[in-house]
Amino acid sequence: MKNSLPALRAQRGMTQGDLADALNVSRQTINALETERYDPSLPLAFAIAGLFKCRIEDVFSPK
Amino acid sequence: MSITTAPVKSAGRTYIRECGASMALYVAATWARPWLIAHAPNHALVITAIALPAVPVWLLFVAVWRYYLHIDEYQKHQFLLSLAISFGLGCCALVTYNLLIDAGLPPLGFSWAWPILAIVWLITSVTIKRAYRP
Repeated sequence: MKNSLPALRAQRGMTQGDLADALNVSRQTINALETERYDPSLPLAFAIAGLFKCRIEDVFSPK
Repeated sequence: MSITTAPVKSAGRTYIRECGASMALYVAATWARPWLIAHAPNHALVITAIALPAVPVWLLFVAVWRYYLHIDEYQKHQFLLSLAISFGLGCCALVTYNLLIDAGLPPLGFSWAWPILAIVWLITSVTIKRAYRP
């Protein structure tokens, strides 16, 4: 899946570490998501969308 | 919304600490075992001394399980992948070795199974971690 995580994170001035702390995951997980090496579970995708106050499809889209 | 209630950041450190303590206890129990068996005053304590190294092995399992509960989903993915691959490789290696005993290799005791699986698991974990490194 493609995602706009780096852009959303940059808009809010967050580092990967900040985002990892907010979602209670490791920074490596955020890095894997951003580099599209890992697709998140639905609960994590909902958590990310909730954190950025947008819909899942605004963050993630099929390749 | 939190995905896990466990402290993801400290999971690795906690695991290393608990794993190290279990290993140290295993070494101590194995080292003390012959003396305890020889000096046990009754049969029940002999049996206890014989089984003593099993206690830290179970503690190690608890440490691994606690680690699994505390890591996040991406780490779980890597953890389960390395566990599955190492279990398969370890079982294949043990079966192959068992067959080759008929060709003259020295027979290994059942107690070798866990160290062999542990070594294969360690190698697989390091390989998987390197493969998933950014």
